Amino acid sequence: MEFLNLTLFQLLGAAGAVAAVVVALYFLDRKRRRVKVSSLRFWTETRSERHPLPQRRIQQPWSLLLVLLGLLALLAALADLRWNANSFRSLDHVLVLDTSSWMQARENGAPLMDRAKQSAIRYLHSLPPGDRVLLVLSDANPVPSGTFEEDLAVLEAAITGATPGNTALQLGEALSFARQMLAERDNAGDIVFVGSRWIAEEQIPGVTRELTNLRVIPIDAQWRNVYIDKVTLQPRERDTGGWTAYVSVGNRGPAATVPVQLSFGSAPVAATTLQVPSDAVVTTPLEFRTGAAGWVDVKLDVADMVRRDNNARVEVPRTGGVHVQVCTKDPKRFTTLFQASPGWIPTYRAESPCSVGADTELLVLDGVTTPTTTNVPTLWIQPPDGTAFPGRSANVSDARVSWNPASPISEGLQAGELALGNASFLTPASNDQVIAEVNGNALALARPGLPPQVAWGFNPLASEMRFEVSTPLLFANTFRWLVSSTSAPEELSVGSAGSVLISGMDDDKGDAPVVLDDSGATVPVSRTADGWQFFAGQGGVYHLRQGHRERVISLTLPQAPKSFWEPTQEQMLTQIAAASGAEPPMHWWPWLAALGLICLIADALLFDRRGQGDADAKPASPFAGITQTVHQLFGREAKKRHGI
Amino acid sequence: MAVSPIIDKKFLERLERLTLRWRKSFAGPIGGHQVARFQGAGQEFLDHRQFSQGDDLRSVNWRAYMRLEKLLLKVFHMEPHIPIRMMVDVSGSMGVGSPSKLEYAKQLASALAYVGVVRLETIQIVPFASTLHEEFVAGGGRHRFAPVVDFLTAMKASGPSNASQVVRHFANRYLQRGLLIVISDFFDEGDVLAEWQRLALLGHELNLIHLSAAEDRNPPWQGLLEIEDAETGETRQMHFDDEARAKYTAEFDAFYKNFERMALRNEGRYVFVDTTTPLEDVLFGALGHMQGAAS
Repeated sequence: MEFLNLTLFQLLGAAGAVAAVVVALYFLDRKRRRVKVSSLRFWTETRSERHPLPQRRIQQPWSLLLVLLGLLALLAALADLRWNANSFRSLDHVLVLDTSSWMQARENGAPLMDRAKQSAIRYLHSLPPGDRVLLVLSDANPVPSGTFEEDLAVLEAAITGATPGNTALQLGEALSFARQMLAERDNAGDIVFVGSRWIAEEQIPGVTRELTNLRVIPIDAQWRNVYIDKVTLQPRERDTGGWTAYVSVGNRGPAATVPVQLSFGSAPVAATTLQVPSDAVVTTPLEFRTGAAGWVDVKLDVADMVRRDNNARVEVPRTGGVHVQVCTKDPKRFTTLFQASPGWIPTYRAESPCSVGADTELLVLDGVTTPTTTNVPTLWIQPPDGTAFPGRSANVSDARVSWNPASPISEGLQAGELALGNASFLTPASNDQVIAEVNGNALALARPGLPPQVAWGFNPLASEMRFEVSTPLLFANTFRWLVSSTSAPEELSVGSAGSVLISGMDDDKGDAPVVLDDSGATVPVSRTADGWQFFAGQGGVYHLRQGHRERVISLTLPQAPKSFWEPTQEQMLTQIAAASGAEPPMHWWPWLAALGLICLIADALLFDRRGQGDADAKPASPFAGITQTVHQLFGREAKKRHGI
Repeated sequence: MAVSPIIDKKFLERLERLTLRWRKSFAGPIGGHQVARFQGAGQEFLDHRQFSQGDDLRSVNWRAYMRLEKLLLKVFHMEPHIPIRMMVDVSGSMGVGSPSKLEYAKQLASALAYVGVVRLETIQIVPFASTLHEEFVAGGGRHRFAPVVDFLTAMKASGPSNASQVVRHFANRYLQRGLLIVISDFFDEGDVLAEWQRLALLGHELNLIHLSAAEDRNPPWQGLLEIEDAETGETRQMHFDDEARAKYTAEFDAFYKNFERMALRNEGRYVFVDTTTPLEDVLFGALGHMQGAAS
């Protein structure tokens, strides 16, 4: 237990202040007592003239002594007074226990983490009695397990309960944290690191050389570990359902031949064998095809120290294309458009009203309507009268069309004069977004909701606009906005928890990509020299979105370290000394606290000044008071009161 | 614990054994119950005297005339109706003590009034502080006792004392001499002894019942005190210790001894009553032993 731990001068100063306050209160308490009497007739000739300042005179010295003694005893208890404490100057140490991902490793079946725990506990027992230790469990983030603790049982329980995490050790942060903890202590001791010395930094942090009180208890092993560094899945262009998996395999050990197997839904779909040199990372592409959604597993068929980084899993979405039903009287207009984009699977219907097919995922209504309301995202092209998009006819020739830059539908489109011919100016509803307008008249509207709908007051395929380059882009943007939930991500990858660098997702505006975790919560993203970066302390699936682009990162792999730290010989603590065996100085605070309370209670019992008791009955000394109190409690008066 | 001014029934029954007596012979209208030393209409034989012209023939001792052939007239003790006045101090100082002296005075006054009412005496209860308050006349038997209790219960202690003015008012208001019972702590500024003595000199028979709370005679406090006069509110700071307490008590004792001497010297009576003393002990003890107001 820890109290104020005052020095002698601090204790004396505090005691003096307390005594001054008590004496002042003592005089104030006894300064005067207001009493009401029948007459002042007989109160005239008393000793008041002989004692002009009677309040300066101590009237109950025993009471004052009891109060002072009690408060001083309590103050000494708070100051944690110890006998002969100078010869047992206790120190405060910080024990940094490596709980990084590679502490999951096993050597000859024995976990390295258990060896680290045993070494840490041995170190604790080697400390002199009275020393306090702060245990810091460190992987990518150093986390103290409590406060500076003297009780070995508490520290052992905390060490025993430590488990390795998924991230690599950030040695610089761990040691800086330990140094900061010790900087606030008067009796700073050692910073002791217990771990494998594999760290996440590529360069050894400078703090390792700055610390003169750094001691390292190494957990050595013959490292032999092959690991999946990263898996990236990309859909192949112009090959619906085709995927390429780029598997990066690293090796911390001697050169190895590593069989790599890729399976989809527990069925092997690709395999290869890699020759991975020592301390190198080799990447190999593996191709497979699937139109369905499911889990893709990558497995390294090796037996090494860390098993968990030999398997990676990522979920791929369905990629069979989007079924588009086009209701038009002139299907030829759309044929060329859909032939250029294999991800869209069109079906054409010419009847009006147009019935919607069961597998339709996107509906295009070219001047027609449906008999009933549908739940399918719909693109209205020149909607007829009586639909949800009323309008009025207009002739738009060589008019300047303005596109809404805030809408993703008009992304990449620039304002200009277009010959749209016969068109309709649409009347926007309250929640409609105007996509395009001509002289303040809405020409295209987007209506968010379920289902989303877009209405064009013109038909780009029936006007001169069909020769414009922007027409396919307008269709692509509109289709993507309408069926964004069904569009496939441009890339899937499997990585490790920790700091994740996002490359290739910059946009023209410099906006940061949005990163969402499993629960849909936004993860903070920061800008670095290499690109955008976010920190994933826990494994999981993260979605990265930048406009229409989306990537999915499955951070289920343990983070692999990047370098190995070699401390100096002075820092190495290979031999842990035995405990000194000296007895720590005894704590006096319980006895001092009890003494203080007894003194204060005795003062309250013997010199109670709350009532208007008979002054003659007040004892002159504590001993007389004790006798009187005992007599009152157990003597004749008590018997009388109790009817004995 | 507050003392109830209502006296219980058993205590009242015991009070019926008592009577109010006085030593002096007062002149007054016929109709009293206690003989005076003056001759007059009465039933108690006093003496014989020679018959003279105009005497009542009903008082002639005809037996003596037949034997001595002289007209001798029987003379009787007069039995005048003497007013009994009971002055109760209601000044602020009577509120001091636990129970307060006024509460004790109410009980004592009600008990004495009951003794008088039962004996068909007429009791005038006169509260006073700085001056005389409205009196209450009780008489006519025990069934008239309840209004006495109501009157006494309504009295409250307040205001300063002024014995000089009280005595002057009393002398002006009550010209007929009689028994005067004063229940007070007699705390006042100035020579109150001489003021009260004036009433004795005017012919009243003084019965002084000196009430004192425990702290009046022996203050329990010690150290630096800020004492406040219960009547005037005046405060005074002084150091009070055992030596001062002894001096205080000695002066207090001298104070009430002077009252006792004054009362006895003027054919009156004096009794010192500590309010911690049970009322029954006072009525059947101190007051009875001194052959005073109640015996």
